[in-house]
Amino acid sequence: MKIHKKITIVANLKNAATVRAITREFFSSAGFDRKWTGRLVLISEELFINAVEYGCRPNDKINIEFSQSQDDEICFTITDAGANGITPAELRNKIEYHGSTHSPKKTSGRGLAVITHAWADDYHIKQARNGGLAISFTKKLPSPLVSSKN
Amino acid sequence: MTSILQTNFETKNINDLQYALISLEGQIDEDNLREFDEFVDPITKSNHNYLVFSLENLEFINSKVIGYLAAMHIRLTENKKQMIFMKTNPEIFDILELVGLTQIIPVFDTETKMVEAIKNEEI
Repeated sequence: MKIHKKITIVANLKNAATVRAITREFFSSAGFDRKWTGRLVLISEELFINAVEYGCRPNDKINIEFSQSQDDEICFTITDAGANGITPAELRNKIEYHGSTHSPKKTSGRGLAVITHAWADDYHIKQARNGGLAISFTKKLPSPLVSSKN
Repeated sequence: MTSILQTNFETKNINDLQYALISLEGQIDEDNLREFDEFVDPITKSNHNYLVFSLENLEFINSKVIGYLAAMHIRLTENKKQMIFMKTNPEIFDILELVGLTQIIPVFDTETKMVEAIKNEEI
């Protein structure tokens, strides 16, 4: 593992701007260009909002972990406090439902189902040891050739 | 750290066409979405038939804001009004395109092209 960082932050939507600043620095330092850094910051934001709104009570803590492997795959994980008791399978079903019913005129359900699904290489949902949900996404740093095409 | 959004509203008149020009600068998220709503809602209820959002200096929006914009578009359309995006920067266009908002809300690079399209009843 080249890089591994972990931070803990209070579950409050007012901290979203702080999370954005931290994630922007991480993805940019990892080597992503401006376009992909922006995309990955947005995915991270969607995971953070999801954790605050559906996985935490006021003043609960959220764990955020970043890692970058030797072969330049980054992994970003957010672990909530498990406040709503939703299981990984239930969340996957919700995401699939929103993904299959997406339309431009819908007013919700895009964060995980559309944005994360489109721009992350892969994402995983599992039960964390604290009883919360740990949602991760991975993204391989594009080679210069691939980067120029995208 | 808080999300800072600067807003500006002016009524524009070009070639007998009147529209509301709403310029956004900074970031919009849950932290300031209510503040944005309080700014823009009266404009949606004004007598302007065209609401043009200049997004050149908008740095960030998330899915909640996209949902809000989609709801505003639906509300305006029901009232026979038109929402338009102008001068979107590449990052914001990237998001709007991914979620399909560019399919339902017209996007123009320049004010001149937008005015021409309205005059020619292309939108």
